[in-house]
Amino acid sequence: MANSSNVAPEGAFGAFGAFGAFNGSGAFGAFGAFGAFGAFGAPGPANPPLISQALITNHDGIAGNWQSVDPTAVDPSAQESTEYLARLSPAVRASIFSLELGSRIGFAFEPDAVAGDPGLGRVFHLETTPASPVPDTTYKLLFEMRRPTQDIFASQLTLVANYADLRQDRMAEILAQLGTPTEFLRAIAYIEPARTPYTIELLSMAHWLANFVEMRLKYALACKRPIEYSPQIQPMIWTPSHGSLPSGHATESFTMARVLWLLLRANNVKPYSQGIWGEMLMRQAARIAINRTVAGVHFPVDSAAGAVLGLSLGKYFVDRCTHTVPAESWTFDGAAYPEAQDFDWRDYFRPNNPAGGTDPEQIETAWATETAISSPATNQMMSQALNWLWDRAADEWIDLAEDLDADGDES
Amino acid sequence: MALSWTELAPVDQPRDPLADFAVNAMARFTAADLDLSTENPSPERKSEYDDQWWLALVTVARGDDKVSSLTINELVRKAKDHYTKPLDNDLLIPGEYDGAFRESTDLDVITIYARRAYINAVNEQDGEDSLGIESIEVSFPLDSSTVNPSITEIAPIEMDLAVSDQTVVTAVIDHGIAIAHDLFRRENATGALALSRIDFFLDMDGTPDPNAPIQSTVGRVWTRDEIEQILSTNLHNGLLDEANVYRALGLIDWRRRSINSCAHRVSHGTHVTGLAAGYDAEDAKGVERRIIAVQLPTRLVANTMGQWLQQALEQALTFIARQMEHYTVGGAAQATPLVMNFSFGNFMGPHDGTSRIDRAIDGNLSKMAANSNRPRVLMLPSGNGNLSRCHAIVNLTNAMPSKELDWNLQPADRSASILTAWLPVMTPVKNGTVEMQVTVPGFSTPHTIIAGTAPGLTLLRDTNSSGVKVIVGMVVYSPPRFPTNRGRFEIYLVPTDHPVDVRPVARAGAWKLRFTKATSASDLSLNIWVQRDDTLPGFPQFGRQSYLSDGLYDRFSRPGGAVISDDALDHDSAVYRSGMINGIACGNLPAVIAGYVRSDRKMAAYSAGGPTLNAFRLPGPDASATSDDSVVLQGVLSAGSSSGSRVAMNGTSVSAPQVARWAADQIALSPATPFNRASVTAKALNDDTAGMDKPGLTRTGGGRMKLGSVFGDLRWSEQ
Repeated sequence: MANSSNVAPEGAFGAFGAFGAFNGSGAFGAFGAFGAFGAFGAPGPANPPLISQALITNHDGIAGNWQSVDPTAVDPSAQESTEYLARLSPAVRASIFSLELGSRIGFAFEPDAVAGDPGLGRVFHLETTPASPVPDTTYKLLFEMRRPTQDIFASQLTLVANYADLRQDRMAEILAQLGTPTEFLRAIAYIEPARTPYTIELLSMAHWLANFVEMRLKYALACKRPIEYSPQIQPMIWTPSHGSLPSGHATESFTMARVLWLLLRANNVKPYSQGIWGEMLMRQAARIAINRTVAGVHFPVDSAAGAVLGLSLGKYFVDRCTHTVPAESWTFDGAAYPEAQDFDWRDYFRPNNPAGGTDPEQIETAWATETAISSPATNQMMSQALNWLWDRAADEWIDLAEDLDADGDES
Repeated sequence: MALSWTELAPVDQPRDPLADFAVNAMARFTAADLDLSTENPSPERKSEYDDQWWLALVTVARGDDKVSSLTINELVRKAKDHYTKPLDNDLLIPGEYDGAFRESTDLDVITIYARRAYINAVNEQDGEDSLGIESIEVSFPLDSSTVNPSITEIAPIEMDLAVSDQTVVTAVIDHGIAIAHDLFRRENATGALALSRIDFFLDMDGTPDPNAPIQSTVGRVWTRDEIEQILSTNLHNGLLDEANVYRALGLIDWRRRSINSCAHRVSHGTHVTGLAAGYDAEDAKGVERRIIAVQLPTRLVANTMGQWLQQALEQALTFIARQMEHYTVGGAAQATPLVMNFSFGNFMGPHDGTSRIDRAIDGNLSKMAANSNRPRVLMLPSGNGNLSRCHAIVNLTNAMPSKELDWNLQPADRSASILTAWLPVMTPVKNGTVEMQVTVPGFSTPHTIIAGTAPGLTLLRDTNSSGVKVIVGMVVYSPPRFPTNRGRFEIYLVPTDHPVDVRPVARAGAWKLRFTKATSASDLSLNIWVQRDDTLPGFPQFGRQSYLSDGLYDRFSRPGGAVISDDALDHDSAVYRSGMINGIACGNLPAVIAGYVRSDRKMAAYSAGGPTLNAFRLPGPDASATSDDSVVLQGVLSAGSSSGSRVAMNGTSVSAPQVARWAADQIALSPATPFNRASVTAKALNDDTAGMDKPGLTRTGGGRMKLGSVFGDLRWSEQ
């Protein structure tokens, strides 16, 4: 059966398929998706047998007799140096960044947080001090999510059934969006493998974080898919094996959209501070999320949960990358979601116009609420590695504008 | 499964068999389609199905003097005093009908909303006497949440829309009208596209709102102020959040409906409205082109039998006429010209201008014209059925008194199939003049029905799984009735398939018809039309078109060759392309527009033509306009559902609104000059002088209008 793409943990994460097999240098198969990015797509430097055979006889022919080496002839490399990151392949860096991100995330499921209510899945940020010999650590709540009731899912099912109306219209998008959201974000921001390799890498790490968290939540909350409620939904693509809420596509695309807009604005380059850039990035993320409902594999409430989670994780990811102490936690209470409510991204984010003096903001609803993280440790360990990646990605967006004077004329 | 024929005695026959078929015989299918119960749980013995409101076009009975009609108020009294039980709760008079109209004794065809109990009582033999309805033609049940059953006469509201003498109102009656498209908006003082050119929008899918400034019997009326309020709250970063606008308007609502055309990339109504009245926001002309939009009920559009739309059309015309009262020019009322467009159609009807809908259209247009000295015109498409094989002419002579024809029903057709064979004008039809024999596929007993002075109705029944006999079809003969004065044979058949087990269904295959004339009768011709029941683009698969065949009809010039789109001079089949013109476009007053291909100037193969049987419209269409830019670049460009988008759509649906646009411009040049159907024909004759390559009169009408392309320069610049 033609569902090999379904073997990957999440459809969109199929791009990261190589992580599943983890056969060493093949890891970044992900970027194979980008045609021009073939260099990343190749399974590391190739070792063709002919060349290896030649190198063996070549060595025999020219190496000569062994000369021992004086230890002072070579200096040791600096340890834990971000400069080293630049020499590593993106696949190796991905492993490093994954640990930087993943080792600071904790998870717990509390079945009876409120008696009679569905349990709470809780995601934590781990504050750590420098290790001597082991770090002092404190878990701080970063995100919590409760699944909707059966009444809500049953009511949401009608929306899923009705959205099938758009399948013919959206088929190309739905199939293309089985890959990474970067393909769709790059239609908005000028992302191109040769031009912005670090931006692509940064987005792939944001994607990684979103997937890392959402899969654990999906597993804990165990929400059934639309196909399990009715034989009449008949999705137009494979229903993934994991749970329905939160929507992985929503989580990932909103995480990446928020990270990307913050990245674009990192150097105060003129156009990116206009609200329309955020508007478009959020519309795109929402379109990707809604298309999953059209396809018949997600409830609108899944997209809402994913959007709130993704927007939060996007901010958290940028905090981790920019030496900022994470300060907010969010709660998505699925049981408080209005039964027949469709998904509208504008309930969760305002892409205000920073250029006009109003900052974009993630906003609260009755079922999505914000809490300040209590007494965050200001001296907690920051990730030099993630900061290195962020800086390089941000540098890719520095404006190459002409030097203009205050009147806008060439100076 | 055992088929049988059952002839009904005249006293047992419904007066309008098609209404009876639609409401009763089709109930098991319709109820299943709409997920309605047909059980009778309530003390009143009413089921969910019984509670449905049906739009109905009715001919009002004459009063005692045989000349003047009963009044609407008398119809209501008769319903209340009905001898079986009060039926006034099963009858709803449109609130749009004002007090004067309700007392008028000059009524012909009007629209009512009725429940099954009322329709069935009308259909009783004494229905004309007891309820004052001469004849009735029903729609498909409306979505109950869209009907306001407590509506009474809607009082006129104070609203003065002062416009200039250059203003022309364009009214579009359609489905899937994305009214917030930027082509229908203008900039406000701050440069935001927050102003709407839509003055009134009747969404027949909407939910009645008691707080709305303008009340309606069905749906929700939005005024320009309300629309602009919604626009301004949904403008963010200079862009309109259209998803939220249409959610606020209820035009896209996935909770209530499984078909939301404005969510599609291409929506029929948006495209048509774009052609008729779409202007870039900075185009000054847009200021003078105001729009009234009417969105037809999705259920009536989705159910593929175009005949269900006629009732909604009549209501739309009434609505538009009422809104025209709000416009003033220098303080004068009824001084603003109006151009209307209705890009829908069907295949049925007598094609002579006497059908109820033709009369309702002509009646409404005349009434509007009588109230104003400015033009009131309606554009209709000639239809896309040229190649549908749904028209036949059967000539019966003493040399050849008998003729056979196959009516082919396709499998998996989930809509009813209907055929009408019209006799020539004859009053009366002598008994035995002509007969129709029907042979059902796989059933050895044919049935013959004979024309004459008395109506005839034979049920075709099949047994269901419980052994109960259930109606799968009706074979009908109706004697001539004023004003059509033609007798007719009809066959109504239930669907050939349904996903829910509501068997039995009708048999797919060739239904053999044999028409035979009595030797004593003079030569005569029967005109046969099969009702349209194909699925419209963008809708889920539903109906499949049944068609006629006799083995002599050539579809292609050679196998694999070009399609033949005109009947040849030596055409010898009874099945014709000619005469496939839109069945509701045969009246005296509307301008009817066919479609041609811009690049090679040939008529579009699908563009249907005349002749009609109406002496005031013998050729059929009045003119033709582009319906395809080329054979490869099909359709013409106009607005997609989303702001900024342009999409292609073809069909005579897109020809008509281009003429509406041109008409509005012409009228604006000289608002006091009369403008009508003939003005369109005159332009066509002027643009397309007679020559070797000019298509036939019945295909193109006056000729191929040169209108320029509205948005076509996006395809190539020479347009």
